Amino acid sequence: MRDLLNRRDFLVTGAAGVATVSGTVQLFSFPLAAHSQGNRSVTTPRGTYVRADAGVDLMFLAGATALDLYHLHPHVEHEVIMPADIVGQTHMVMRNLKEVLDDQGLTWRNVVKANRYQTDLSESEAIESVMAEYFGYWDWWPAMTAMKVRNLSSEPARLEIDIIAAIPRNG
Amino acid sequence: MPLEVINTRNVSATAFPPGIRVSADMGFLFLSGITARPLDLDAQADFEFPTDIGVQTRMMLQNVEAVLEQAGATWRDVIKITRFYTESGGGEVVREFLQGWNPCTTTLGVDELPISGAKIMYDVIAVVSDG
Repeated sequence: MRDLLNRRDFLVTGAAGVATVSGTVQLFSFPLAAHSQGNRSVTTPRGTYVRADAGVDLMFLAGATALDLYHLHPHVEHEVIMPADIVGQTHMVMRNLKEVLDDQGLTWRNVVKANRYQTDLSESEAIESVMAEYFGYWDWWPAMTAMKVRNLSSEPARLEIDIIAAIPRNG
Repeated sequence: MPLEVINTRNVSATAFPPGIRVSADMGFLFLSGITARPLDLDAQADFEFPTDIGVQTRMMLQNVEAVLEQAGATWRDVIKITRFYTESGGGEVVREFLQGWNPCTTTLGVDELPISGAKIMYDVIAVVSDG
């Protein structure tokens, strides 16, 4: 997995065209056949559900777009800086979520549910390709629901993701 | 355990927190968005959705029910349904499956669903007990 770059570095590298869609990940349409957690099969990488057993903490994360995790409300123009392309935006969304996971000592493996709010459903494949980099390709894939919306919280935003993480209480 | 508000940076108390952590005594089941598309169908395979919303609703509910069953839950364990639809209808089929149980439900009319041809999608959260 890539090291976490700070947001400004990422904007610079992203603008230089460093972040590109990986052409090597086989992607599948939604939803998939496989059930249960931790499914590693290459042909059925998705689960239709994830079960978190009793005795966990749940952490609910606010929806994150490519906008910095902390920003002024109402939004101010000089803070609304993000790449236009969906690959760059997805990386920034995932880095925002990772900031919270890292803060709590968690990994992507703790994520049990993800909701994706997209302005364009035809971008699903590119989004999932980037997400897969963070989830360790098909080592882990949470229960996931994608939906199309007309607008997100800022004009250039194309993707928002909110997640739920489960944390075993004694471990 | 009280709610724990998560902030990753030193910010004023008025900032929106990026996370809130809670303790859960029950287990939880999180389902992916599920449509009428058969769950065991290969992801690349073509599938023609029936045009009738009632028929699609029934197939979707059967899919959800199969997942609940496999995970050891029933409709009675469902606490939250988020229902996305492009065409209304199918309410009587839902009542037939839910058998009087009414989970918290949020219904959203949308322009388009992630799978072309799908008119209804359910996102379900259920609780499960141990064992």
